[in-house]
Amino acid sequence: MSTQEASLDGMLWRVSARLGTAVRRALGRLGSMSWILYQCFWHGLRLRWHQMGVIFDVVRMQIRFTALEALGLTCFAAFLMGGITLLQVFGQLSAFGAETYLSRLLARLVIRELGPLMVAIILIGRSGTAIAAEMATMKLSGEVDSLWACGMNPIQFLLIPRILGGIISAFTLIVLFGAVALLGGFFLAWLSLPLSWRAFLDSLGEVIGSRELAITALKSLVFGIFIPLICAYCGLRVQASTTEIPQAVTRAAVYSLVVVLLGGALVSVMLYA
Amino acid sequence: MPSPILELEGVTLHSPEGNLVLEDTHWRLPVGTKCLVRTSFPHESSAFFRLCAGLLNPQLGEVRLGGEPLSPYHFTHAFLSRGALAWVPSGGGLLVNQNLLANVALPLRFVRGMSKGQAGDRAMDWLAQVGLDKLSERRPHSLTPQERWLGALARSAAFGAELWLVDAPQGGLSPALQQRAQALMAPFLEDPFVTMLVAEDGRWLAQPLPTWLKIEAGHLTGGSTP
Repeated sequence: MSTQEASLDGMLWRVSARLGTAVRRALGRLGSMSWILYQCFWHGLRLRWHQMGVIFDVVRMQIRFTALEALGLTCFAAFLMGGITLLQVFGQLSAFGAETYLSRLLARLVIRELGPLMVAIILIGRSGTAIAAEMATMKLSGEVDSLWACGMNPIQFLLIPRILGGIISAFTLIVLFGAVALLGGFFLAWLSLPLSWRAFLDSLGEVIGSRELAITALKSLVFGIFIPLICAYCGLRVQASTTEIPQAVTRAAVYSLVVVLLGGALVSVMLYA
Repeated sequence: MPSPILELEGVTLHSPEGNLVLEDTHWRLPVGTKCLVRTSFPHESSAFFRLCAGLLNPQLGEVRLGGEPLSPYHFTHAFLSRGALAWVPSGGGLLVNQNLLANVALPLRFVRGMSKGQAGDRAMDWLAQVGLDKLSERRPHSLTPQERWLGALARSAAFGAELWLVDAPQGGLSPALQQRAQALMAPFLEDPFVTMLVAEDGRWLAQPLPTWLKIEAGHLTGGSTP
């Protein structure tokens, strides 16, 4: 073997070794998250009646922070998104004289894809990062240890309420986002087009059916489970130093976004392909 | 011979900083023992208490709490699940997003199954014993480290735990706070079913404690004060 061939061979080995390490790490993380998800399910079933009051209090707080305090931002984003989508779609449709399809297209785009995706991004940006930072701080300050030592299962007290709160909040915000975006779209359309409220509602009625409800519920479930879970997982993985907190928050946002994009695409393909 | 509440079987432990704390240690702690833990450095006693609470895993060997081995992520350990352990770390370990009263009442609701009202009343009684009832609505960040530590002590007392692991408070306690802590601990030191390990820095909690443990160069030796 010549020197050049040996060098190429070594480089190939190094590249494949790096690829292998990356794949192994990714699989390891996937395994850990699956294990935590399984633990949440298992320990959720083991919750006792008297513990429900404490869990309910935490869920209520979580919904307050995740949904209630995000209402303004969600409505603002939905109104703008509805309006912008309408302007873009109108430009394309009017070229073919197909303005009557405007409300249908808007409804499909917003309810099926844009609404859930935008809500997921809001959830990640507002609540997911907060969960990751909170968990990391709790881990470093010994609060998680303290819960464990007091006999309070951290999975039951920390993770399960956040997942329940996440599911309820995601569903509420997705429905609200859809409604406000459609209203915003109609409002802008009404300013420039001879579109009646009655006709708009009728065309929405034709488009929105049980499948849209199913996709909203399914995406809420996927986003509501995985965003808090991934963010809590990243937060709880910090070991010793406060410098790990921003790293954990960044990791949580990136992983959550990847899962939201993949999960959203998978649900859409499952229901519409 | 009383049954052991805590057992170390061939335990080798390094602290998170990498220092050797215990090496191939075999030790049993009988129920009802009250013991001072003497170490050369404070981090050794903290690491030892964390090992006993299942918060730090030994590099070798096994720790058994209430006869059941401790293992990582064992969320259903019978001794821990029934709230039999009271861990009082140096910093108090209180939840920062809850006020002091909720911190003391929360385990009573979650583990003991008390109602919100009952748990609140009981928590307030124990906080009053250490003079923290007026600060009960405050969150931990607005308390001094000593108050946080006393809050954790009140939580342990309200909990009625069987095994107490009491680390020394950050910065020590003033004579007035020492008196409050002593008054709170006194009935538990008399109780034959309560086992206590107290860091040596906290020897003022009750003088004299009859037995002591010394951890030095990885070896654990025990003795008693006549």
